[in-house]
Amino acid sequence: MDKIEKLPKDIKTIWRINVFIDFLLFLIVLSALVIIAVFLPEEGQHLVEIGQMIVGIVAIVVLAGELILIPYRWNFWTYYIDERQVELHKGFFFRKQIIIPIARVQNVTLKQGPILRIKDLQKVIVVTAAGKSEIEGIKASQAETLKELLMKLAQEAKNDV
Amino acid sequence: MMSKAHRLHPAAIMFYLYKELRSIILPAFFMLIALLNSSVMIMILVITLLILVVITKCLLRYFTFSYQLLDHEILVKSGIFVKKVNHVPYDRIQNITSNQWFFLKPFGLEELEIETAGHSEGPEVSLAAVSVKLKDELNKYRSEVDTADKSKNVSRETFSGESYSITWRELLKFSLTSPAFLSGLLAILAIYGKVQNGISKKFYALAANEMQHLGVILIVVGLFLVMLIFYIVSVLILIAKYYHFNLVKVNNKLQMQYGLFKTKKTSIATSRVQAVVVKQALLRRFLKIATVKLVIISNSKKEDTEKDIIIMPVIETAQLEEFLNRFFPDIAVDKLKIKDPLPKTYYYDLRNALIFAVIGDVIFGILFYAIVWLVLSFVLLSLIFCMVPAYLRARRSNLSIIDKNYLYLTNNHLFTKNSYFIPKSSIQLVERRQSIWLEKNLFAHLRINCRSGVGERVIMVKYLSADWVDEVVRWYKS
Repeated sequence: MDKIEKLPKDIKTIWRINVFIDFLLFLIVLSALVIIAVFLPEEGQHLVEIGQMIVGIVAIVVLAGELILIPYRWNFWTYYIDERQVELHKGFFFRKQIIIPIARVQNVTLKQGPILRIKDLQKVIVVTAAGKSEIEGIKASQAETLKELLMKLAQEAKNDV
Repeated sequence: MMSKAHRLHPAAIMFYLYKELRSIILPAFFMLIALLNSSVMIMILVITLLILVVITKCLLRYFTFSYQLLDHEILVKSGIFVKKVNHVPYDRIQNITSNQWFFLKPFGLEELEIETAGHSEGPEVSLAAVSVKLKDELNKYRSEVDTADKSKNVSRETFSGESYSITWRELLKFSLTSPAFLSGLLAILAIYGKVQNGISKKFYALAANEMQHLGVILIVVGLFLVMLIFYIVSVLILIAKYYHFNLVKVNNKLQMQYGLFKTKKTSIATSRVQAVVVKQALLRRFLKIATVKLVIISNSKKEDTEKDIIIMPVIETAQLEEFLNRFFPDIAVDKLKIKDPLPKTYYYDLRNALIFAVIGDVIFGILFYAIVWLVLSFVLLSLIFCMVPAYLRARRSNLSIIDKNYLYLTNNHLFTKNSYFIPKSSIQLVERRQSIWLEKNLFAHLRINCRSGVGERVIMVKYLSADWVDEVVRWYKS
């Protein structure tokens, strides 16, 4: 695994699903506002209407923005693992590069929610003594080998010290 | 070797009483205010009842508390209704802190606080009043367990006692420049807010009537006097707290001892030290003094900066290098080369601060456009509180690789300069941040994660030359 890797293409589907779930949450808030408006007197209704407008606009902007940003996010989200360190790279306009030496890895957590399960992906969380970093989703089989590799390397690194 | 169960020294009752009284004094005060209108009989009755309850509680607490030193652990039994038996194995003890009030000295008594790595709030075991010999006894047990465990291990380095004490001059400079009185003032204001709710209207009207007779000038003078009193009191408290601060290094442990009325002794294993921080507030920088703190692994859940342990409250900057050399010989301070900040860094920091300040000013201006003097003073204040820290930040953002093990990093928080000496081994991860525009100008940010308390500490420097940041990344990878 000595090369820079991208997340699997399927992750884009997952992200899209997540975006729609967020949108759904906005819709729930919106419908709650609609229901509240029914029970309010005249003056109150005006205020709630403004609230409805704001929530609606924010919901659409967030939906559109996130959908547009998905290819960007995917394109510039890469990781790299060799026997010394785990490296995560994010973003193009605002670039982040995270370096975790293998020797500092405390444990590796694999996580799979119902949405990730649809595409048989797994989230890999690399935990150090101070905080954690995530690889948002890779193929389950790959995650397994990755975990094995990380733990083996971590073991070796510990033995070195 | 096994001792039987001991009770604390009876002086512990006084100690419990003091603590209990301190915790109920405020509620009791409000209760009395509420009872102000009722008859004297009821008031006396209530007060005696309260005192009785407190005394019985303390007595019960004293008689139900016992401790026992076993071969491998200390056993503490406590609890009135809920019985608690606490086993603390010696090899799990992280830290023993002793507090000794001056009036307990003649009796050879002190308070012991035993800390473990467990996630409990405060010390795991607190022995209110025990003989000073107990600490040595405990340490003996601990070292026995320790040597039994580590006999197969390589012989550890031992340093013969390096010792450093602060001088009176340093202590005075330190206390006089402390902003602690401001926080005291805030606390009083908060209590005042509570009292205001509690005091009956009648009382309040009376006070207000009284105030009318005094002129504005008198009130201002009064306020000033209150501030002055607070300042003096806080200075005295600080002097008493850090009186004769003494730091000793023995056997990979840093031992501190300080305090006038209450002598506090505590020790930290150097293995728990994650980084050394030198802090300097603006005023103290002019006086050429600094504070040395340690970022350590502990079970403290306090705020970030409060978790750091002060190992030297005040030291003259001229002495700093020697101090670090003596107590942290790993850090090659003499190899440290500090680079000049780049002009572009000033530009970025000042630009960001200006944008921030202008946005704030515009919003404030729209809201309060009618009151010109208010807007003007807000603009002035915002400029001072944004631009000055921004200037300091640019000036103080710096980093330098000392050698293959240590990184030197400085940043600024409001008006305080923080210099960190971080060993590579305690850096958990490094993050390099750069936007595409910064890339063109060859600038980048650097974030470093360390352990601190039970959580993480993020140390960040912004707008540095990308070369410097890359150098650190390479240094970290190798």
